[in-house]
Amino acid sequence: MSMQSPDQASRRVARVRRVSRIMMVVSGVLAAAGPILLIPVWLSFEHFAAAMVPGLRIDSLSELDRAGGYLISLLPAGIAAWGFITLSRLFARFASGDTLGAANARLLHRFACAVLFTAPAKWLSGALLSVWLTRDAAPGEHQLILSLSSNDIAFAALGMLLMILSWVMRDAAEIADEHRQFV
Amino acid sequence: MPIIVTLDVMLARRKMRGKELADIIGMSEQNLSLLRSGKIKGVRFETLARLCAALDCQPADLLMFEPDDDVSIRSPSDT
Repeated sequence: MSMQSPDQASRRVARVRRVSRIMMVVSGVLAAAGPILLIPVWLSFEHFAAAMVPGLRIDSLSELDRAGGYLISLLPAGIAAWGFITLSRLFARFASGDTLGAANARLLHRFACAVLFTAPAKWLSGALLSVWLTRDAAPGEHQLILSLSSNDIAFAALGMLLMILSWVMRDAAEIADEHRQFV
Repeated sequence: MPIIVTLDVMLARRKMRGKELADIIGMSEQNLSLLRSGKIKGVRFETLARLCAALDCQPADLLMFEPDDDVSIRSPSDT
């Protein structure tokens, strides 16, 4: 096993802090951007309908349709925003030099939950949107669309990976805490 | 904890102050204070060697074992 020299270690710590500062800002911006970007999306939903709810057939949307659709879309977007806020806090701790604190493992665990819950939230949101937007359609033309894409599965897998990493990080934090009690 | 740190006794014998010892062995006064009060989980061999060199003593002069119920060992007949 090769040991890092103190110089290499300090360069690595400096790099972690520098990148974490950038990621803290990026995560904060993404947390705010999701719910805000959904507003123009819903103002011209006709262009995005195929991407957001594949298979949905709609002619025109009322203001109430758009407002309700926006609120339903906030379900996955809100979870994602919460995840990015958590991630921003985690990067803030990394940027301050605290890389192996117990709180970091908790924050990573919350972010993993957000990633994991985003997939079913998107699935539920798509189903609710199809019902909401076709509620006034003629009898026989109401739709309930349930779609599961490879992206959703990838999100769930990524969430599980992050969840396991958060457990490993919690163990590492405990070891680091014990290590600190050695002189 | 059944391991008692007797560093204070050795410091008194050598008529040395804690701050002086901390400077000699390159340890913070805060860590030395934790060591003297026994509020630590362990001492690295490297630290122990520096302490012994600075105080001209053996590890046994700095540590003492007092059995208590916290430590359980298997008797030879269990193995």
